[in-house]
Amino acid sequence: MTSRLGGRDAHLGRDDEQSGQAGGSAPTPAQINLTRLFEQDQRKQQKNAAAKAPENAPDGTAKGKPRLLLMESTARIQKDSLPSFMDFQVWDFPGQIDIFENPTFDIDAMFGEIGALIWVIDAQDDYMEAVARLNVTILNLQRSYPFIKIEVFIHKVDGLSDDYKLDIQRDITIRIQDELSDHGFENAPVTFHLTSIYNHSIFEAFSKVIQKLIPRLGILEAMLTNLCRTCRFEKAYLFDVTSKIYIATDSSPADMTSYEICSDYIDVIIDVTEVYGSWSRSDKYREGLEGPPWSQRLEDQAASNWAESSMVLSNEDRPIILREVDKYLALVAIMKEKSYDKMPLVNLNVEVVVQGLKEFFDITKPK
Amino acid sequence: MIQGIFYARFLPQEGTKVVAQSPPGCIVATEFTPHLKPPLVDFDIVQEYIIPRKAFFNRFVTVNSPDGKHSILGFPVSIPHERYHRNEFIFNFGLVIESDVDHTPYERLVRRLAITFAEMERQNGYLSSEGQVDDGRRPIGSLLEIVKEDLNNYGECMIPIDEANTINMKLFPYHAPPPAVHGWHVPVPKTKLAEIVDSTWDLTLQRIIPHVDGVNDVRRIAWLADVSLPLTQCALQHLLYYDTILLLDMFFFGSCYALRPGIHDFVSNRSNIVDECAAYVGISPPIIISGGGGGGSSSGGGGGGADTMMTDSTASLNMSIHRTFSSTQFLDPTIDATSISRPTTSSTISAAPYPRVSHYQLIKLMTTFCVGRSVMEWVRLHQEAGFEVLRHVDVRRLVQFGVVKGLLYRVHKYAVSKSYLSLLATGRRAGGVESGENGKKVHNNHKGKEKTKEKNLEDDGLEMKISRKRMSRLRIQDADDNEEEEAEEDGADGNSDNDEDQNGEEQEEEEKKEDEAKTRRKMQRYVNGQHAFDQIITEQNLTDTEILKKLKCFGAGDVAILYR
Amino acid sequence: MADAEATTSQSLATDIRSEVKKPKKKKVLLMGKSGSGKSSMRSIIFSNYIARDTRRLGATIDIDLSHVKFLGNLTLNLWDCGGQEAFTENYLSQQRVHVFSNVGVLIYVFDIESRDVDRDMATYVSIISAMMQYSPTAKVYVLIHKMDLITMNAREAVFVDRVRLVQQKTAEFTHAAGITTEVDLIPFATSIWDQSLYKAWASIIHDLVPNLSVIESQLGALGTIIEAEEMLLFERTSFLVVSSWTSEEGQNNPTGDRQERMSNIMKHFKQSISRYTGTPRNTEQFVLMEHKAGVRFSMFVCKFTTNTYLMVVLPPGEARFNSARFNCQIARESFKFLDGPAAGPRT
Repeated sequence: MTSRLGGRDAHLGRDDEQSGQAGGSAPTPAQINLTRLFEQDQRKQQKNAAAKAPENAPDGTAKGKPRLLLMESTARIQKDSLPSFMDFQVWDFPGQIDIFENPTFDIDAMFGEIGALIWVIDAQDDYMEAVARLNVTILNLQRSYPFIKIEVFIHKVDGLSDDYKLDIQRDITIRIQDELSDHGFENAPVTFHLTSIYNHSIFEAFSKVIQKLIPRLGILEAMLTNLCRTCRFEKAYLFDVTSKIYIATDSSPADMTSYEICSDYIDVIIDVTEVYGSWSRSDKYREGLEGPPWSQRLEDQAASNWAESSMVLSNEDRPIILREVDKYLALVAIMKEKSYDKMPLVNLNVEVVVQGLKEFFDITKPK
Repeated sequence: MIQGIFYARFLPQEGTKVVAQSPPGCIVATEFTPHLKPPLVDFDIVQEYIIPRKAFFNRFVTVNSPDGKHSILGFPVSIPHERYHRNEFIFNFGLVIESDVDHTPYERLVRRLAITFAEMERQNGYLSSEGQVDDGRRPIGSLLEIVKEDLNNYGECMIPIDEANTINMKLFPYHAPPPAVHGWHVPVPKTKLAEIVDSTWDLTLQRIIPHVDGVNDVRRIAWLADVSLPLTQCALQHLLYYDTILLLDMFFFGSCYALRPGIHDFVSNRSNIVDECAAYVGISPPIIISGGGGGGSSSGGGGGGADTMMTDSTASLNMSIHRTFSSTQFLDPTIDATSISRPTTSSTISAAPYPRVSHYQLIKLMTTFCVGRSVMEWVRLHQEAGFEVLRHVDVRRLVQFGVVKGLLYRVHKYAVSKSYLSLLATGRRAGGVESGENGKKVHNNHKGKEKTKEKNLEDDGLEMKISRKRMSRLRIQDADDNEEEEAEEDGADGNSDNDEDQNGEEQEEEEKKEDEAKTRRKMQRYVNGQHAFDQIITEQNLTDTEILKKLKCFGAGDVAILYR
Repeated sequence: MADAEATTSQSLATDIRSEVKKPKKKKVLLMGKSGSGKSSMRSIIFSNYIARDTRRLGATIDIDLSHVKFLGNLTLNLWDCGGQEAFTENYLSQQRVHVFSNVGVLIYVFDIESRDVDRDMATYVSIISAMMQYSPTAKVYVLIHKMDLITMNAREAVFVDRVRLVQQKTAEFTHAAGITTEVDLIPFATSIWDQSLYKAWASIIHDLVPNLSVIESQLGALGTIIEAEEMLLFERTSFLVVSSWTSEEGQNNPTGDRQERMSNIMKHFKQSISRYTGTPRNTEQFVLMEHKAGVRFSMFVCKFTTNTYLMVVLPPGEARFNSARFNCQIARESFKFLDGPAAGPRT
């Protein structure tokens, strides 16, 4: 796989091998399995859409096309592995299968290595049954696998009013927590997210989930915070380019809009690179370019081997910069006003941070 | 007459389409009715106004057919919602009527149909499910037919549509909005209101009606009925709207009347108008009227009930009008000294039956009204000529008859102050002049002056200015008024404080001046020539002479009295 | 285009000649069956809608007139005609002269999903006949729309098939009517969900822009100087490609639809920015975007003249990149005529 942002093929990239071996009870980054459990009648569900949205969106030339809705429903458990900065395994569970009732499932094989469980609830439907089943599932899991993080996606909230969204979230939260405390689990790791595929909330939610699974996230965040302070960035994100999930950000409060613009910017760069960066020029052309007046190898003419990009908005002159880290990751940051002129300096700083990030991943990489 | 009624829809495929119509073929020819008479309008031409562009949605739209014979009244409705194909449901219920008919009564029908069905569509998709579900409902076509037939035949319809909705419609004749009712108007009932009023009527109306007797002015009605003036005015406007009362002026012996062209009819006794007059105004056999609510029984401008003369000039006339006084006689402290107080019992004085007044006399009486001759002078004129007007004729009724029949008009009296007008013309406030004029006041503190100005500002907005005591009697509570009064008092206090060191004489003079200034302020707003004396009389509770006296404070030659 | 009008209205043509500097108004008819997507595509191209938003559009009632300013000196007189049968009938009868006279371009949209093809064709032929009657020299673009509903591998075949049918019907009509001149049909397969829409519209616009040859030669000269691989000149609001230049090597780029892809990408991004900044969609959103993809290529998109953006694709190289940016800055002067007719060079 080549880098999508146009940088040279990453040498640091790990093999895309699937890490199937069990690594004890605590999940290692390489072994994180994301398992999604879906509830209820499959016909009404967008669950597939929810599952695939972060994975499929970037390769769409037909952006905005609601083809996610057209996908077939999940009928059996699917295992997908996501090649990314670290390897995920995504297990897609059909909603109608009750895994705890069915003896054919090897519960331990299924949940033994799991890092997080995502449960999708349809907010536009009657969710009582879904909540009840989620409760059963949580109770089951809590007994044997208390480290599994339970992430509840209250999905399809587009079209609902803000008040109503919060009401639903409150209602579901209370129902689940009551049930849990009735059974003596006070601090179960259950988190709730309001999501929709019609905006970036689903990516945001997935980002939060993934971030929980990253070891030593704090160090990553500290690096980014440091960069922001030094270069006077408003906000910096470390993106997984393929999935548009951000795996870390600086400590300033994250807001949806800055995430959206950064993620869209990655899209644009990917698309442009696909058109102009995916074919190799003829040798003769290359020779011509390397000849006078430059008389330098193209590699030397370019300032960096990695993709670098920036853009300046009309209204506030607030540049956005993008720097490829490795073939999976990119650093995207929103700068303060009028800092475009200091670009070279900024680039220098970014370079240092990128080196640091690379080291970080080298160290945390599973041996 | 409703010539046709239809229901049109915008269909995403076909475009504008008449879905139902009554009578069949009135808008577009259908396959069942090709042999009938051709449609009333060329639908192809008008269709762009039946389902118009966005800007016309949810508005009342009238289209005239090109031949000018018919008008289509419609109210295109668009209901935007995702559930509809193309995100919108657009329909129009239209009426076709002749162009020369007043559209106004039909507008309400069109709006009612549009609003009712739009709401039903919004709630349960009544229109969009038409023809798709069979819930035993009446098809829209037959519904339209009933609407049309009922409205044409009975002027109203009541059609249940489903268990929850009924279309109730009625053709209301259109009346022009009634003119404003002022405090100095005298409402004269045209029908026997007291007989038709019942307990379901508006409460205010119920209280007011007994006092509407053709004699009481609006202000007094308000007071007698214990109802606030604006409410009284509003209630009377309703009566006026339904053409059940007339508004006349107050009758004073001091006021002038002049002839109108209609007098010719009177002289030539067209349609026996003089006989009618004679029957109405003649004082023969005395009419016995009960004291209290007699006014209610009056009809056709009949003046039963209480009668009050408020002019000072009548005092010298020593006349007796054979009218009764109700025991609730309103005695105004400002006028009781000069107005004639008549017996408060219902005893009526009546001499032997007088013969009917002759036509000749009546015409003579009627034609001798002229500008510059007050009723009093007119009475005197005839008495001197040997005709005992007051014995034979009820003057008030005669004048009323003349006004109602368009024979006479009232000549109003206006006061105009030259200095005030010139002030208005130069755009300065009246307050400035006042303090300028008043040399003594120059030394007053500035605060005082400012206050004066403020007061004058308030002045213009004031409905009336009466002393608090009177106000409470009249039940007109005006917060501004109170403030005003207080402010005035404060101002006066401030003045006296300032002038402490001056001797009493000066102070007296000062007070006098102050009084005068007050009066002037009070009267100022009336002297721009826009306010008739009637208005001043009712609003200030002054008599004619008192007004004249007060106006003198404007200085000699400044105020002119106009008649027109 | 003034010639086209001359045949229908001599006086109008002379008017136009006498006021050469005045922007010429071309009537662009947008027709087709109801629900075929005329207003949707218009909203996307000219009103900065994104494809998803068009689902909220209502049906067009009668004719929606709009004057679209393009490049400052070109005003498109766009007639978006509601396609309901009742309306179409009305255009052909009551409003025939009003609608079909003075037409510069007819864009006829076919819905590929339509079930009643025969009927569509019949309507189409009656429209064409009205066109031939009142504006015989107008250009006719046939857009076979909603191609996204056809599976990828069948698209080409379906498209060719449908175009053949349209051409056949047109020929049948001209033959029957005894018209000797061939109707010049320009077919496109389009979808609002991909860049194909931009391809069709760029081509339509391309034919309407005056001074095109001047723009192209100047762009070529600039491109050679700065060693560019490709240059695209976008119109500011629609981000349609007004003009382009590609170097010899650049022509080897295997991506054939890159112009419209760029339009699509930029336009989408513009909308993202407008969401981010909270500014209206039609306002200008960015002034510069640069991307250096390591040793593969560099590119930048910058605000060029008032009404245009310029996109330049370059071989890698920091120095080359910087000098190219500088040169484009300077070249701006020579392209000023794009913004207004007054400064336009006489050809």
